[in-house]
Amino acid sequence: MLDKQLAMNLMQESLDSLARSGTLKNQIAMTDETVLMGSGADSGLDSLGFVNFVMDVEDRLQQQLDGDYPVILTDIGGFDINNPILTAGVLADHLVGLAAG
Amino acid sequence: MNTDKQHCVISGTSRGLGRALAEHFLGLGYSVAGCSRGDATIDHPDYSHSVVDVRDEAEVQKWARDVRREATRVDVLICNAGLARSALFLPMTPGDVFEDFLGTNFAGVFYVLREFSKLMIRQGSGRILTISSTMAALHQEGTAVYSATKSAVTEMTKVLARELAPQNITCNIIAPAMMETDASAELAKSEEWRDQMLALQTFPRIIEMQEICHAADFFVSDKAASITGQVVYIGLVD
Repeated sequence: MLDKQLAMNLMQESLDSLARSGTLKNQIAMTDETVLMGSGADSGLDSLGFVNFVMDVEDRLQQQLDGDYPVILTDIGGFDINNPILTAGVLADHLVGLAAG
Repeated sequence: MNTDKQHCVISGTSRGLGRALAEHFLGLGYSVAGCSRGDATIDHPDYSHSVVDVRDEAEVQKWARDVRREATRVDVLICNAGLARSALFLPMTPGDVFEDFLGTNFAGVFYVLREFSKLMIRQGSGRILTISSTMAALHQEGTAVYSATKSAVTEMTKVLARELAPQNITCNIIAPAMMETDASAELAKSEEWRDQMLALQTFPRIIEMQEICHAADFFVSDKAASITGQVVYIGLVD
């Protein structure tokens, strides 16, 4: 079972680990409104960093819930591929939905 | 799968060039994860096989997840799976033939590149090779769809080379002339066709698999660490 707070914690752990590995220059404290991808992104993730982040989140989900949970951007409600902006809160909601099947 | 070895992933390993490349890299001491639509044709302790139709996005994703779980890293990726079959002049080419070429030669390469390049981005290193064809440079009648898909692979690989360069991943293209594969043997049943095709090549002879393996060796070697986005034609002056 994954609720939104757990999903946010999991994503924060992922960002922290990317900061420790040097993929992210600075450690950031994520909120619902943190923009992970797109115009105004304040997570510090560049394009390749975002790929790393998503893979890390997938791995953590797999470890926590014992299953495969691929994150597909176009499956995220409200995500517009022509104006791609993804906030932490929206991704967390999506992860909760993914985990619930 | 032996996790101490270097790992190579190759699509389309049941026969032809894919099989030759898999056996070559096994001979060099790599672990090789291969796939094809059918069962394995390679029996080696360091070879693992998955039945995958590269046209199927979900199957490729599952294959990549399985490889990721077993091997933890991918040092070399070779996108080889592809169709080479007889074609007609464009005005007579059926839609299903077009779709087949597009699905295997283009979408299939895209899915494999996407899924396995993610693993390389994460590890911060890797060597990617895609297989094109000299046909893409010859503009020969009757190859419109095949050549277009191979040109698309070349362009996609070059763009990916730029995208992945910051992660120390190189992406290059090998474009061989006519090889002795089941597919080309089928096409070459017409001696006239075979002679016409060979006459277009700078070296008008069948290209040996080993010649292609040697080109692959160069691209994956440490000496090629700064070489990316390049096409090597084998048997042809472009």
